[in-house]
Amino acid sequence: MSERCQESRHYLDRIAAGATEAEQLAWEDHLGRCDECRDQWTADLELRAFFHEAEMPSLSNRFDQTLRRRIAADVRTHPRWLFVIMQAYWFSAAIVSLLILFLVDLPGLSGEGAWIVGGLIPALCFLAPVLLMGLHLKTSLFELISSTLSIRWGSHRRAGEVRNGTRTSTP
Amino acid sequence: MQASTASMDSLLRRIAAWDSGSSARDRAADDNSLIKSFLSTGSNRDFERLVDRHKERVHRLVASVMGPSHSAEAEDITQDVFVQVYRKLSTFRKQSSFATWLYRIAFNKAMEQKKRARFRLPHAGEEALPAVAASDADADPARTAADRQRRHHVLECVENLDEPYRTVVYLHYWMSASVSDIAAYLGTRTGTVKSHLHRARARLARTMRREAEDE
Repeated sequence: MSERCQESRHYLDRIAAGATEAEQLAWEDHLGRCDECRDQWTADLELRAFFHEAEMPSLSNRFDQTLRRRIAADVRTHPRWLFVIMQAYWFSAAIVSLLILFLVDLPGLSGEGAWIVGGLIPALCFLAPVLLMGLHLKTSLFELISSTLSIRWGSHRRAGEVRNGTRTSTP
Repeated sequence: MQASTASMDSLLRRIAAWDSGSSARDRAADDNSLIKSFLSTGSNRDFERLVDRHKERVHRLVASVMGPSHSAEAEDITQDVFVQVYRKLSTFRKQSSFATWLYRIAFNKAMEQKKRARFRLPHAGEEALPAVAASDADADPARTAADRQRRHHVLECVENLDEPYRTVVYLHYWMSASVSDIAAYLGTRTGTVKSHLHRARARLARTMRREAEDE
């Protein structure tokens, strides 16, 4: 009868394993006294009844074929060598920037010169690859905006429409 | 008779779909050798084998996150997950098992899509409701309508649950996943999953009771 009764947790687990008759009688007795467990039991029965007839979704036969095609397309648009170059670029840009920042502390560099050397050059080092990558991969700002707007305006892709040359799955 | 045979088939299919956790270690070892081979040789055959081993589970996880209202999109998202895995497999650090890493990607991707789908299609559609058995449908139209309304109500209540309760409910009741399977999916402990299920049922019961009182 307690506010945080744990009986149902124990019993609902036992059901799956197969409860004995004695356990079942004890549970029925408990249900008559405990509102919380009765709620748990009712919700469990409702959910089981609801999903009993529900079909479990399964993958279509075209899954492997479509995936192969999509991976091939992805490899074309995101080549591995570009990824390696970009990683190397970021790494070297970070090291160069740190070195420049370190140089700012050296005697002889102060004031505006220090700001330019210590701030602008590292900033350019980091921004340049982003711009280059954006141009190369054609993942432009325009594409991003148009996809955002298409979601907002509801002109979205629904199940059954064609995507990347393949039809999306239907229920 | 036919209906009961169909339900038994459905039950057996569900049980067969979830293999026992005893071979989890073997699976992880096999995954690691496939990943190693794929990364060293670049052979797509190894990656395909990796996909074959996990695609059904990833699909079920994604479908559970999306819910019955958006389950049609689950296959597309599953493909997105594997495309991303193909691209990022070299960054997999083996701090966790491959399955945990993969399910995390799948869960995040599905959540992202679910948010977008909710924005586009905020209400659970009629088509999301499980089909009523033909024998019942022929019996009494009034009862069928009431039954349909009740099912719609249950689905709405589940959809209104917060994460991770909603996904846990779908995995457990829809996909018939055991508590330990759900724990593996969500990278959490079985006790936490039990607690999530307990709270989800309590919330559902509260909502259903409140609405029944309002009527």
